[in-house]
Amino acid sequence: MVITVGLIGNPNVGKTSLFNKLVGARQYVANWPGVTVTRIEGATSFKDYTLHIVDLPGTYSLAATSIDEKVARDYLLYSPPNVTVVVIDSMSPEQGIFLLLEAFELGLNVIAVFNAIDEAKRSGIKIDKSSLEKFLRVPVVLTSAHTGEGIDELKEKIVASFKKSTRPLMIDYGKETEDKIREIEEYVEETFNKRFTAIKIVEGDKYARAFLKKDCPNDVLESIPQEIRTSIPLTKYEYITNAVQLSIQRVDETLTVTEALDHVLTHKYIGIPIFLSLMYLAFNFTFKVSEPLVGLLEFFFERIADFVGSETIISSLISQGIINGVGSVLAFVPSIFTLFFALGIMEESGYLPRIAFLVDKLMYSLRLTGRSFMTLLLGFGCNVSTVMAARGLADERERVTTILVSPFVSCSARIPVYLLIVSIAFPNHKAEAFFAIYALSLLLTALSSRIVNKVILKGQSVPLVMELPRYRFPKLSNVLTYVWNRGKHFLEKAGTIIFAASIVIWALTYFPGRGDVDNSFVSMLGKFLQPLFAPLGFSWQIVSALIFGGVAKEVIVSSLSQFYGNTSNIHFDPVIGATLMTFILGYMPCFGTLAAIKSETNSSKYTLFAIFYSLGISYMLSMVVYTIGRWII
Amino acid sequence: MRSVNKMLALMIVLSALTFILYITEGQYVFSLVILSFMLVLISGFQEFGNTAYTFRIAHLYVGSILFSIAAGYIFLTFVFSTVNIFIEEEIYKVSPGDFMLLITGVYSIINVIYLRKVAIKADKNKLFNDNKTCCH
Amino acid sequence: MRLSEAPIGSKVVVKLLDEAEITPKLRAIGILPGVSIYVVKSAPMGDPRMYKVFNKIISLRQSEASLIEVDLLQESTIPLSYAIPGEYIVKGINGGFGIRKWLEKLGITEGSKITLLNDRRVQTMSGIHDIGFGKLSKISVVSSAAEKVGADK
Repeated sequence: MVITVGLIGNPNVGKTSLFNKLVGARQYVANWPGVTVTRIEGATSFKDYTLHIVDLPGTYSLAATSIDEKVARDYLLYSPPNVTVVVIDSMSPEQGIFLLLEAFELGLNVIAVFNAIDEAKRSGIKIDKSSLEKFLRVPVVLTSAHTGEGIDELKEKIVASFKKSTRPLMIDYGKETEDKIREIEEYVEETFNKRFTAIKIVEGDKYARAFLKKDCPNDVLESIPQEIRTSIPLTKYEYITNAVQLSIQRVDETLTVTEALDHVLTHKYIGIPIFLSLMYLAFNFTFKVSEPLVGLLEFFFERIADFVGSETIISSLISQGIINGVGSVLAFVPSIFTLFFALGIMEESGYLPRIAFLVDKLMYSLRLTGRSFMTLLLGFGCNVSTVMAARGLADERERVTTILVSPFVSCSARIPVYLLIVSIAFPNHKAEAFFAIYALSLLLTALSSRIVNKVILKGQSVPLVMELPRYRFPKLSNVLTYVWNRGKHFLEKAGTIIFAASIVIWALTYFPGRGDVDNSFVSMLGKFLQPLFAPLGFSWQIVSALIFGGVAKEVIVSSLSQFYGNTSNIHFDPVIGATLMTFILGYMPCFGTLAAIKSETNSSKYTLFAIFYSLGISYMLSMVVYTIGRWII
Repeated sequence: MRSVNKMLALMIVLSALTFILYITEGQYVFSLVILSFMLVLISGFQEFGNTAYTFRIAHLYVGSILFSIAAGYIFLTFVFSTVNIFIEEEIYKVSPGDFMLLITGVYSIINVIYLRKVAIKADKNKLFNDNKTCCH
Repeated sequence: MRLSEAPIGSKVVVKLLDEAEITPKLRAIGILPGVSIYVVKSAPMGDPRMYKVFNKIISLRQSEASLIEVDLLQESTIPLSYAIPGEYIVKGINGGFGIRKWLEKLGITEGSKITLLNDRRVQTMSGIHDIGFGKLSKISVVSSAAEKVGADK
């Protein structure tokens, strides 16, 4: 017998930890259909039953104001689970109980879980379970995802609830509001939960209006006074405050651990230096410290490729196409996994929202919030990680903007290319050239952010309204689960595309000259396109190398040396050098990034926008640089 | 409960040595990192008033965690680089500054473990409050 | 006043919310008329700020907090520069060693009773002193009347 269980609750209540404790490794990650919100499902057996558990996105209410909330609400509305478990934080229960009361109105079969009971006990908080059950009229379980307390009892109560559901509490909103609710109920389509829909409409929920009959007069909706609108959440919170006062005994307000830690970490003067230092360490850890591991993998694959050789077509396909292709993807693995490890620790510990808090003011000038800062910063290592990490951004507008803006963040793959160009064109001004290109990268990112915001999001800015959860010592098992889920996703998505692209590039280089690069399709393409790049002063070798750069930027270096025969044969003057660097900065997101953009935005429109926008801006900017350069020198 | 002030002072001495060593090695950026972590500890002595004691512990705790992270970073850099043996590159050389940092890191970890143990016991007696009458 | 104007460390009660796109979100996390909010601190650049709503810490930008009309609660701690003339108990001094010693000489330390006079001078156990706006803003006080109520409970 299968029991479907839906897990809902505020963000940061330990819902995912609880989920992990319930299903262990028996979980898999997917997408909610049609959107790029992560769907996590799992199963566990209890007695004769299989509990099929869905971890829904964290939300504060069932009035859908964001994609996450809409996903949770739609799931509960259209395919309600047998049992709904509302996870509430024992240390800050009020908002969680609000969500619980909303779930009651949906007519769901509900169990209330008060999590983090171990923390509550340590703080001297006493929870009267039976009092809560009396007030809420549903089974209440006190759990700790950290120690495992209450988990078995939860499974028991789930099964018991399945066999016999309880009728939960119905809130009375007072005569005026109730009259209005009844008035609107008349106009709700037959098949839907009338009371819930009417209540949501009174509250001002736009999506709920879709459930009204066609003949509903407009003035019924327009004339709802503010007092009635507000009375719905207000009455709920009044009830909640009363219930909590009588069932939960708190101690006097002394300084909590989180407050003391925040005193240091968001300190007026040392908060930002701490943050900058930690970023520096996290960054280096991900991209420099893991380098030996990357080197090892590359070495390994090169050896295999050499072993296979490239005399025949098949062996060339295998060694140059497949092995090199797979190799370049897998060489990413140590970086990506260490990246998500660092990110996972920051998230688990609760520090990530503090970063957002510190830099939000700065991010506002990009029309983004502090939340996306970390995500964009990752781009300096690899743009793909920005696109993937953007999933953590609840606001869809913010997520899409961050993703579309990421290609201008100068990733580490471009560094070998810059090094080559700089050593040829500005051998005595290396530091200045690098500084200039990174400054340009920041400027372009900021500018793009404003442009994307204007074009795609009509100039609306993203609100902050962000909860700062308690600090907790990161639990290794949670971090590892996080790393595995994200890392696997990266490998599946970026991996397959890069692999396919490598084969295609191999084919274009190999044919028709049988390995002779000068006679390949690529060089033909390069020569053919060269006139387009005359205003930039690029030779056909440069153009061809740039085509290769579409797969991965560092390939430009090896391509250039192949086309010219030897690195020392490459000559170009400072103007072309500067133009080339500018062009490479943003001409096109690499295939991995494009693949990630397509899969994360689920839209070809955005992907094409990313391509043409990057190309356009880079071309124009490079042309400006070239023209001014020629004019000066 | 050991003296918070003594623990802070020892941490500052160890970290100052680390900082100086890094400067002499020319690792200016990393020494800035060490400096900012050191400031966390030093500013602990700038706490006054009712909440001074608790905040001072917070400075010590956070500072210790930060140094543990920095030391862990150097440690892992070394560990990962051992892989280089297979590809004929060099293993990371531990500098005097790094060594000092590792020592500071060990002491930091000891602090963190100790403070967490005391905090767990103390929560039961509500030690984390204003008065200094108990335990120093 | 607007929530964005409430001083750090003060406790306010919500009077009403302006209608905007994020208002439903604010209501869902408990920012409703009659609910009290504690202003915890602000980020180094002044924006955003941390607020305590029921038992959760929520950070809001000044632009978002300005949508919320609030009133100061009587038992709230406020900077002395903000206070109306009356009797107060000093709750905290936001300053380093030098300022504390200076104020201590005048009879102003944590826990001491002081009176704010009409001309913005301060009366303490040791007499009447003219302190100056800058230092006034570093002294956090609570109204005596409110403290007495608390003590009676």
